[in-house]
Amino acid sequence: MSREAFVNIMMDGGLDRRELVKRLVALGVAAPVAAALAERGQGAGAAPVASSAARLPAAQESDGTLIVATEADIESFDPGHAIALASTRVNYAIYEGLLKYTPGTTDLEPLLATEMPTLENGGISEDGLTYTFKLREGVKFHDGADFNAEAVRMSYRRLIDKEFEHYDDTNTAGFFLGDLTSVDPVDEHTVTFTLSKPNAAFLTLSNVYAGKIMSPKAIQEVPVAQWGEGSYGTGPFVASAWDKGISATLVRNEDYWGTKPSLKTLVFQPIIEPTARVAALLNGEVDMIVVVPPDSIQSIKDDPNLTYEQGDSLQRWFIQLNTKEGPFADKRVRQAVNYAVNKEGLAHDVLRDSAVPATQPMAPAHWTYNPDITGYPYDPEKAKALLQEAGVGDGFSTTLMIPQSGSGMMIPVPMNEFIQGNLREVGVDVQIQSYEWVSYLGLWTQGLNADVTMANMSTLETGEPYFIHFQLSGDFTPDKGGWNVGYYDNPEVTKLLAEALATPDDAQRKALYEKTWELVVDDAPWIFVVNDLQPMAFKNSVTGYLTSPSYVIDFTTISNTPQ
Amino acid sequence: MGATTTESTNSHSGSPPPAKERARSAALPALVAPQSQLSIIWRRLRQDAFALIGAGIILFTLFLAVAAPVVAPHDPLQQDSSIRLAPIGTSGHPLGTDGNGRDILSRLIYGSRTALLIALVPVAVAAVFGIAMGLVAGYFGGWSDSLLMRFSDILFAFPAVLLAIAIVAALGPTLVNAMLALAIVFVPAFARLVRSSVLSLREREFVVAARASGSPTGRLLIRHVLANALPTVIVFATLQTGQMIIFGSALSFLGLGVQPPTPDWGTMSNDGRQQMLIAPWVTTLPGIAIFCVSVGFNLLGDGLRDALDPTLRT
Amino acid sequence: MSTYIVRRIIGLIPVLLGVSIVVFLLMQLVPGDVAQALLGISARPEDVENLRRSLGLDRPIWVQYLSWLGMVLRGDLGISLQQRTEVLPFVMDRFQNTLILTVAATIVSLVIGLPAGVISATKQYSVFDRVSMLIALFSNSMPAFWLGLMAILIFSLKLHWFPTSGMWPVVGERTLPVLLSHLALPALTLGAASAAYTARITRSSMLEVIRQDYVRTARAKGLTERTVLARHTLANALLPILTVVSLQFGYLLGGAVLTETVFSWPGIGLALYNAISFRDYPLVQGAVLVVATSFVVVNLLTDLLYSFLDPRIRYS
Repeated sequence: MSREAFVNIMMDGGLDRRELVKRLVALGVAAPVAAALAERGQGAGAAPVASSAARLPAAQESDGTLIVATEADIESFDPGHAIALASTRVNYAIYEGLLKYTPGTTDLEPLLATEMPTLENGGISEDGLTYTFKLREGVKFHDGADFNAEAVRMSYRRLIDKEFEHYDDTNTAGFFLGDLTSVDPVDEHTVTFTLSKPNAAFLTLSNVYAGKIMSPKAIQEVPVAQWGEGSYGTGPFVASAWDKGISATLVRNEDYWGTKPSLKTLVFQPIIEPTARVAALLNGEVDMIVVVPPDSIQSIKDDPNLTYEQGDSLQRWFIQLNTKEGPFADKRVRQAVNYAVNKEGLAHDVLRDSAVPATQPMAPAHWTYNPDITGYPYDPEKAKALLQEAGVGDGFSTTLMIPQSGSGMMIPVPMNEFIQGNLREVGVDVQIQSYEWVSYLGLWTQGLNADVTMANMSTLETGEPYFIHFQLSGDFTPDKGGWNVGYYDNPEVTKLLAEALATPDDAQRKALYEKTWELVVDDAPWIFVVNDLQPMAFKNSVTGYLTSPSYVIDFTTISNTPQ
Repeated sequence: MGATTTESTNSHSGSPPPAKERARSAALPALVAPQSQLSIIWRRLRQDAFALIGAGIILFTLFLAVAAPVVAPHDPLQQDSSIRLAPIGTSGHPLGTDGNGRDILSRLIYGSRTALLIALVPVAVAAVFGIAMGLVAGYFGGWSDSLLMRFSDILFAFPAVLLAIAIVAALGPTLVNAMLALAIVFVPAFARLVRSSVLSLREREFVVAARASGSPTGRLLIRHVLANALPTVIVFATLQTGQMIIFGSALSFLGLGVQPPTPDWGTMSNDGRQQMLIAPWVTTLPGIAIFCVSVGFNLLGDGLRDALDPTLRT
Repeated sequence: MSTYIVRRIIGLIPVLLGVSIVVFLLMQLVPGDVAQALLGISARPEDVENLRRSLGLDRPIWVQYLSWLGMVLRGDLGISLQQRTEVLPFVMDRFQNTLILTVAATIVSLVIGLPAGVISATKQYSVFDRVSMLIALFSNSMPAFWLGLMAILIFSLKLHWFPTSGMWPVVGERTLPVLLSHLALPALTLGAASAAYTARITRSSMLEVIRQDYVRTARAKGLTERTVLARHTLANALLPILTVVSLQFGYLLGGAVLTETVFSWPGIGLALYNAISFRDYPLVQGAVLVVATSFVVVNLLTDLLYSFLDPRIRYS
């Protein structure tokens, strides 16, 4: 996708950025970033795909109920409104896209489509503008409607077609579907998607968030505002109740087209306070918890009735620096603070190894991760030397803004206090300003200035590098509507990023990204801190759980059979 | 805690005040001359062991707050991730360390500063404004009195904690805003208290005599009326401070007060929740500190009240 | 009597109007204005201006207030930004849960506080009196959030006697014993300081009555101590105690924010706390308004009951 395409998405393509902010605020999410922001979500498990097969339950039929304590309530059952992981985690069990992430990976595989569109099979046109999907037959929505090409068309029209009678003008899909111009049935079970510009991330973007298919019957008969309250998907579970702030209950879809889940009832109970979540698990009140607070990991491991799991994710946790003005305008100072932060100590001591030290923008689990980059190992002496060289050997004072909590932010206050302590060691005196999440997003999108020169953020990247463009490209500084809040502007990086997104070949694209990360690490526009490992815990009676770098949990393979 | 712990004796003049006032504003018992009264109180107080213990706790806390840099064994911000969550009794860290490896004892000592600040400043501000409003309303009556009564009726309609939370939420979470919110919430209580004292004093002989002898109104208000109402206000303020310590820490606990990494008992207690399962002392100790100081003010306040009105002695 | 009631109810109107003004003004305290807050600080000035116009924020403030008040009087408290549901039904639903907690805490407070206060007063200066008043002072000095954490730590996590949080298990029967097991710790936490207060007030009210002439007369008449206590002392001391109970309601509603947060009790306090975290101002406004109104109404009922019980102040 070209730079123009990005700008289109952000500015023109039916998705003015401020409009988006407004919509997200209306949703209680507050800023466009929220769309992109990672949730420090659920579960994990270092268990690779192979070993997980052994854990699949033998009996597919049991009377199981699974209660999952989550970090936040869902926003809506409607995938067109779901942004936070707490919501998408639930939506995945109710709604299905044409494609999905293969469990345990961020590769795509067919779900409601019967095959992956590729250049080879003609599913993707030569010019990269048309995608054709063959659809699965005999699938029915929860409300009894048939799944077919017209259903796909209507489901997308509700998201992108302003002329459509049932267009939902508060949906949050625009960010992901900005290049999509139309969806047209070819026949009953074939549908084509037409893009305005080639976009290598399209298949990922159209299927991981909002682009899941909703019943045409519901779209026509249910008022837009109530879509989020009902169950109008094709998925293995049917939404049956939502007591706001207390629990969301799903039951097994007895008419599911695929392999029916073992679980009969699936309950999501928001317990926002992390320790309370652990306490509920230790006390036997819930079966599974997500986002385990690091200092509770040991108590869970020590409990013979509980299982702790963690595994790779595509999340990054970093501190953006103001490269335009202030002390961090000097590259040596940026490198110095990277050396000064004890990332290993943070990951090991504060996070109890529920995260790994970061060396570069991408997490190790991402396919564009560059293993040749070693990053900035902890070296306070080198940091001091670099500060000396930059003429600030006596240190300086500056301000770091952080959220008090928030999607994907892990435990921001102690983590940032730790970093503050590290920087104090090398003479950099950092004042922390903390805000609650929603206010923070508002301030963060405004960008850094001469006084507040550091900002903490985390992001869950998609299978295709996408959000990273908005954070590193010189075309996406805050004044241009992006999230490159430190005004990092390396023309070569900007050019490479745009080139990569327009490159269809995977190997070529990987090479372009790897080169980009090298340049970025040397420029050090951020302090690269850690990547989350999705700490997760459940009772031993729960089996069939498989970690995915995308944080998606496949509940169809999970069963809960108390002894 | 929304109301004062000064128990009402229901001695009001004129029409029956609404329920709130009956308990919120303690009426002033019969008094003699202003100066001698304070000395009587002091004499009685000296014999009250509990009150002296309370005063001792307060003085000790004040000392810690002032001398924190000298007394604290460590820098309260100094972190050491290799000694995170050290238990009580660790050598060098008698009360252990928190989740960032900071010395809890030192943080508790420094935390006394914000604890006293967030309690004393709002009480002082509320007292000054409340006294001024109560004096004017009580002495002059008329529209100024109606205004005060309606204004306090409205503020009394909100549970105190709730109103403070809402104000801080609107203004933004900082220490100054938290103090401001707490002060606003407690102005009417002071005003009502002073007002009812003034009402009972206004027609007393020594005030009437002073008025007849042509004392300027301002002088009269301060010399005769305020001086006589003052003991009650001091008792009330002392007891309020004990409650304010808890209110202030509650605001910090909810993330609406002191900002990290400034050591503060409410914030420390909240931070410690993360480690409650493996290191319960991190969240427990700041709570004990809050408790002790609050007890100090309550003991002293009770002592003062008993000294003022020995019939209610506990 | 009826004139008195009518007069008191009419007297409520200015108070409730004042409450609505305070709640409305709280929104105005938000730095910038609502349009700015909605759009984020980075928004272009013209966008903010447009939104201001479409929200009617360019009108004089009293016009805005009147139009908002009009909505409130029609029972329309707006739409929650976070829950995307109408504020009033949501707040009322949560308010019920808070009432359950508050009533339970009041019962705790009375069951502990009343007898302690009565015994202390009748045995003034006894060991019981001194110890119970000291305990009362201690529990009055304890932060509720901390007490709640300790209760969870000891009774849920160590002893496994009670669930750690919530009002109902998310799956299973909703029976009274289940509710009580969830209610026990938050009600005790919330009721503790309140019990202390009740005990102290009961004691001092009793002491005051005991010194009254008619009690001396009753004693002199040779009535048994028990009869004096029940018929004369306690009955008359009930009036101030009643006042205290009504005041406790306000205290408990305020304290509920902290208790509900610690125990994840799905009441109005937790809803308010979450709404503040999400900058969900319509919900904050609605919750504060409902709580304040209910507090005012409870105070009115207390005053009416008071005047009914004590004819001396009825017609003045």
